[in-house]
Amino acid sequence: MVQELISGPAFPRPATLRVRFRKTGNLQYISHLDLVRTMTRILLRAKIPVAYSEGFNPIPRLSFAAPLSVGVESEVEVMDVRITHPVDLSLVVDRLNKHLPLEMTVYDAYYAETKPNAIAYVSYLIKIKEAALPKEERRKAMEETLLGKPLTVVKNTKAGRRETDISPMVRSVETAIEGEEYFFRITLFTENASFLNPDYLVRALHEKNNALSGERDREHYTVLRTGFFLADGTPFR
Amino acid sequence: MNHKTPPAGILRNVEKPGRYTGGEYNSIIKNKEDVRVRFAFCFPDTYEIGMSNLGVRILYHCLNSVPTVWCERVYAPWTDMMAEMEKYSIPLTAHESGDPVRDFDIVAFTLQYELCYTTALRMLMLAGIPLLSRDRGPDAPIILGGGPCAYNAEPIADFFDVFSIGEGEEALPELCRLYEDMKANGTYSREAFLHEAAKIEGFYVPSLYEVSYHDDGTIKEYTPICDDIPRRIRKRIVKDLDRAPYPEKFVMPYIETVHDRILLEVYRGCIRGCRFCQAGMVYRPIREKSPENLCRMARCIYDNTGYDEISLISLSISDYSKIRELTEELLSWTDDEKVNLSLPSLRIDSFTEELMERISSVRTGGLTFAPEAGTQRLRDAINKNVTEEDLLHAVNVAFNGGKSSVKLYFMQGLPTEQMEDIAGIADLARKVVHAYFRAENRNKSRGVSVTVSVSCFIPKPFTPFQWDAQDPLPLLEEKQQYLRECITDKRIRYNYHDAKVSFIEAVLARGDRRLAPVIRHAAESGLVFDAWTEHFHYDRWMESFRASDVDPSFYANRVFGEEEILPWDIIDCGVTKEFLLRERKKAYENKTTCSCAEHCNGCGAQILGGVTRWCKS
Repeated sequence: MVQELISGPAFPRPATLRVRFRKTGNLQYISHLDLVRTMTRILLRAKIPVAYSEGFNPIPRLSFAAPLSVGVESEVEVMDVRITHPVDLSLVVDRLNKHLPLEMTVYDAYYAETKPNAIAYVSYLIKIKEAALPKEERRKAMEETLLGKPLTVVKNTKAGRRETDISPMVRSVETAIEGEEYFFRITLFTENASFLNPDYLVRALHEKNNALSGERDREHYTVLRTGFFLADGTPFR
Repeated sequence: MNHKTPPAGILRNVEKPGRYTGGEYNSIIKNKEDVRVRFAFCFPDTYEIGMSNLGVRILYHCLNSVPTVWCERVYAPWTDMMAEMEKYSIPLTAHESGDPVRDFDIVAFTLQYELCYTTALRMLMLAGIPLLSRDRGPDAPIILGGGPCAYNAEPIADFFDVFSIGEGEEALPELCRLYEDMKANGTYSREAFLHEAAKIEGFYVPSLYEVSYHDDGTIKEYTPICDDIPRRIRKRIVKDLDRAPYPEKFVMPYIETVHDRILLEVYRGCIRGCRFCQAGMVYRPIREKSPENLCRMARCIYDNTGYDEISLISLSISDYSKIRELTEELLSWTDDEKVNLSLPSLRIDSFTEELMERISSVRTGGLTFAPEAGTQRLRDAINKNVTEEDLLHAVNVAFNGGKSSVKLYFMQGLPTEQMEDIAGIADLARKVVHAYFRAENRNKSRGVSVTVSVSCFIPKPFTPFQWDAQDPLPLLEEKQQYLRECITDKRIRYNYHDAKVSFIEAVLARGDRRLAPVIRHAAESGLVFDAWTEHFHYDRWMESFRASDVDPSFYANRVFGEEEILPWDIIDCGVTKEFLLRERKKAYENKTTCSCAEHCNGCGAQILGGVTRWCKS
């Protein structure tokens, strides 16, 4: 089985295989660390020729471009795996998907040419469903909150709770009402490879517009990461 | 995937939402149209703990191998989720389908330790199933109990319709077949089904046995109410372990769980016969799997899961007759694939240089040895056949191999124990510290650290000490303080647990049916997760005893008479009472008994038959 996947002799130095995958539905509740562990096992089951680190306790060399917080789904995740041998790219996607649960799908695998620090901004789609039906005035009010300067939220850091102005991270906000939900299409800048958790925007709406303050079993919101972009606006690959 | 989870609004507000989502790789989804028996396998503790249980994994595989049975998993929601479920009227559901547990045909609980009883009852409450067997209507699921605590299920007998005694690989599919057949030919009713189940070997239906008591509170007799069911229930065993079903795929959790690795069960039973140990007795007769079979399975599970550690599971791994062959064969590929081999439950007298060199988990992990008692006199009485020399040799190997810390397990409150035995624990620990400085190849840049961990003895059914009392609580606490004073060396750390927890365990371990109202009161008053320190409330347990007018020390602190009828006499685990009495007598004479490997001691388990390793007929 391993032979089919490997398509040539070993690389002089390990190459970087970039795997793009979706993580949606119930999988949004598994943390980044859990994801790393899960992916490691999947790569082993799929017999991908993963390179290991040196030293006493060799671990597979995997990294993720932008960690995803618990509660955020994604259609565009990026995992870089260092591999020892070239692989048949047309088989890798299918092989990985055979070993993956349904809510996680690999849709592309290629040799990386860019580095993750080229990512300049990230796009998200936030959908909010409240107990009451959506109204135009409310939509406008929430859009104003998100575009506000400053936009202060309380962040829990190692140093304790801190009030931070996140407005410099907010690149663009578009809002709409679709069906019974409010849609927020947002792009956020990345800063020194740090990615703002879009959940802070939902929290800002909760604090300033009283969003999601009713009955938890009838309200609902989803946060979906929809794209990574370079500074010139082209999609990251 | 057709499965429903609690509303997202709720999942975002609880700790570790991954506990509730299901959908794990290798979890089994079946088409409901093809299924005749819906089986809910409940583990009365959190997801992380339940996922590690090997018994559930084995039975999940066995039951799902039957095409018409769909076995799903259910775990206890944590307290925060329970609050949400109660607030929004969300019933307890199974992981694979998301269907409410009350709609299943058979709901089984694996009872691993006595402190899980309140959690099991809480799960029944969350499911909306009446707690008492006699209160369940004609459409209620059959509530089944199994696992080690089923050997004395009397305290919870009123809450269960039927118990599976012994090994379930063959018994549970038989029970499902009976259920399916009776439903198909129209003869099913709860009473008729339970009556038929009671006729299958290994199944105990408590409602079909009446208990009467003497005036002094001891048991007078157990009487079956029908004449076509056995007077005693003999446990089931799998006769040939090599042919026994074993999972080749493990459900892979997403979130971090305990013991998240390949578990390879090597053999059942134990040759040593330590007198306090229930597992060593109830898993007899000793049956081993062949190295060929084990290696094949290990490879297969590795390919199906991608785990990086294999753990060889047994009561005493070095007593497996082919341990060398097995480890050689496994090491031939695990090193290359960067898979760690782990050998838990290593006896002190089998710890060698070779092991330290070859087994990476031994090299890198912490080392634990269990002398159990501080003096040779007491070690002989409990039949833990390990000498001071054995221990010092083992720690010498460890220290020369680079280890600078070691953990020692002991028990206090053992039968025949005197204060000098407690002081002996401190002496032994001190000798281990001094041994460090005599080890020539020790790691000279580090100091030595010896941790002494002492738990309280609990008399367990089906052991030679089943008649013995647990020390009264004040004495247990006094001994803990005494040992604290004996240990003066700063290099020795002393750990002990709340003796009150052990007291409650002892009550439940040797209890009878009169404890049912107490356990019910405890569960209904909100006690749950008793095995978790932050949720154990001794005072509230004592409230429950008072409310039901039951004296707990009748069960924990009373020496039972050798002529007395014991609550668990209704069960036959193979090992005879005569053997246990002989062993108890020897304990009080400080006489040891050799292992089954040296010669058969006639414990009685060979009557169960099977492909055994050491029994002589």
